[in-house]
Amino acid sequence: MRAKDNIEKFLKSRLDNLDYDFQDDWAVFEQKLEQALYIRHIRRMMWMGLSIVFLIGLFVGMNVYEYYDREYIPRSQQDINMEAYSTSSPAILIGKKDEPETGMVVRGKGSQILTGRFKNPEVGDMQNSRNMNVASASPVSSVVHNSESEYTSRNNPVTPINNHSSVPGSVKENTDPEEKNDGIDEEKVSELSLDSKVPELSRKELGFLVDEDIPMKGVNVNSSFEGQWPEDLYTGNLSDYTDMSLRFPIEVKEVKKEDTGPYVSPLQEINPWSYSINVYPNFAFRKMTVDEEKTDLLHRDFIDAVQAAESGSFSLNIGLRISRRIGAITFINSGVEYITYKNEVVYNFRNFRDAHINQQTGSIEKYTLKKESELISFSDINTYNYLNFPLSISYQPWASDHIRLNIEAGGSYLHFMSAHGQTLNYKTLETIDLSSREFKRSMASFSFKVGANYYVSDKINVGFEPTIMYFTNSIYSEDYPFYVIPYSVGLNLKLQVKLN
Amino acid sequence: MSSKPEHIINLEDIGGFLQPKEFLLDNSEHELIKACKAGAKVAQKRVYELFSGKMLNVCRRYAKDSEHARDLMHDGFIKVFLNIDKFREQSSLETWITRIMINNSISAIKKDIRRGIKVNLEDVQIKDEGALQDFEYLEKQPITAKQVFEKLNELPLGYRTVLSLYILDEYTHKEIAVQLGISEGTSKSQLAKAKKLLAKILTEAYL
Repeated sequence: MRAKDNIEKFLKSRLDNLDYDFQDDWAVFEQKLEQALYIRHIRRMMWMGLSIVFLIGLFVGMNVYEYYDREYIPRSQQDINMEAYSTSSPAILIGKKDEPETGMVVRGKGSQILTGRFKNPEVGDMQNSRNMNVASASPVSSVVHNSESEYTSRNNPVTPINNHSSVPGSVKENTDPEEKNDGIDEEKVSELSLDSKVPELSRKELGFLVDEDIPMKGVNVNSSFEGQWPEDLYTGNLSDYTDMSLRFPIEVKEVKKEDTGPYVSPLQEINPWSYSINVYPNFAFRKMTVDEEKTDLLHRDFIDAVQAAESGSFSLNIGLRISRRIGAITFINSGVEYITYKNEVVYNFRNFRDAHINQQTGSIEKYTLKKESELISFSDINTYNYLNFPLSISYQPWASDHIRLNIEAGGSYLHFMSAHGQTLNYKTLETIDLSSREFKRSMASFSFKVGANYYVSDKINVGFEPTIMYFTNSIYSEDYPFYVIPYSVGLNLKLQVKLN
Repeated sequence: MSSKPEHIINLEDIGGFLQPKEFLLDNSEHELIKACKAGAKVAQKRVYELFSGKMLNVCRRYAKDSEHARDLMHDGFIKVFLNIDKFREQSSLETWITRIMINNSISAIKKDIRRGIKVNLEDVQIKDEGALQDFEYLEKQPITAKQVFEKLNELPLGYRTVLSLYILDEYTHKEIAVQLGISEGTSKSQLAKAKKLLAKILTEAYL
């Protein structure tokens, strides 16, 4: 035990005072550190990207769910706007002798013809009707009664029937015992008999469909009746049409499905020209390194501090965006933006030596040691203001009612306007105002972005756009001792306010 | 602030000055930490220059060889600078960095440590246990710290790890057991055998 204690004390006493050698492999370690920092940055961007993709997927999923959670409305039917059941609108009642249900054919906008069933003979509210046969019809197309598809019209401002209106047609009683409770009052049904409301003409003379005229469901009827259909019904101009006597026969032809092309979201700009105000903060990461050929323009004590201080930035872009539609989902965009670019500079280092500057060349010739080193601790927000004139083409390959994906590529011309804030002179380490530094006035850039816009309201969209940019030059003058990597990776969070 | 001894300053050394430790640590550790948190490269360099030598010795105790120790030291400093934001300055910077180095080194060898200890136990035969009795005499010999350190590094990795953790880094057997994934009993027996072996090596070398 004593021997063991001795060895412990022996080791501690010797090794606690162990000398160590100065390690001069900082350069090797620095590369490893930068690599680790870069990997961490990429990892964070990946997580951010995954989170955004997840959120977008959530939004899309919610919208898809909502879209399909309601009754399906084929695209060609979306413009249906029924103007039925009013005295001024054409309404046609057809009946079949043995048909247990009463049928109704109503002409809607967009050449739609709908058939329906009365539930309440007084109201005849088709909105409550569950069995509606919808087919598209046009002067050259036909109606196919397809009982397999049941649709409700989304935009269907159905007005209730007025049983006092002169609605021609016959109404048959519902003799099916199973459907006696469908709300049809037999007495009232009989009151709707047209016989009491139309001139004393035979039904055939009135042009009503009789049994043999009414096409069976799913059966194409020859078009021998072509031309007998009132012309106005083809053209839709029925405002003056009051004589409801001639409705028949109904042409029955094959429905042609229109090629709708790429889906254009109802949120897509309808006008060929669209204008909007865009506000978007942008977070960019851009790297700088010491230009090896200009080290004599930079105080040696300052190199590491300034490299760490000027790598990340934030900018706020506000501008007018003008878009011109050049395809169904393709736009060309331009406009003007005001960009405020900010970065925080933090310097904290010790100044050990004074630099002697050649007045003619402006470069540092030599250093002399200070008697006492000076701690330089400095921080400030530097602001740079630009006017940006972008030109780009955007393509929106996918959209739903709330989300649009946007792929955009283009370029821009940036005009440097002003700089504000304080920084250190690279050679003398004195505090200077940014406005006293010389800058170039023009800069150009190319950008590529893939993002998504989310519909908030008719006038407002919000967007998320990861962006890659390439700058042709920097605004810094020739004696700037740093090489600015021309690429930057950033993230736009966009608020768009539509003006039209 | 007192002026620096000029002979320490080397104007030709562009990459950085050799500074007395006391100079930079005197009332400036907080500033150094603050600058490191801000990402100032010069502060990171200062921290590296201040502590890399000592940390290399710490890592050497847990590494297979010198190159492995240097890699462990670099990895440890990377973790230091990536996590400096979490440092609350409740201990000294050196203590915090040392703990990171030790944890990093042990993490790196943890997969093999159990196997290594077992192998070492089976292979190492301590023939002359009487060596310990000469230890008091050994203490009086002018053996430098560096020599002791070199002999320590000749121990098998498993022995060296347990001995370093217990004696030099002042871990308890319970903590060692948790760190290495062994039992406390194994830790104690490993320590006992490590001390015997080290004493034997030192005796053979310097007596």
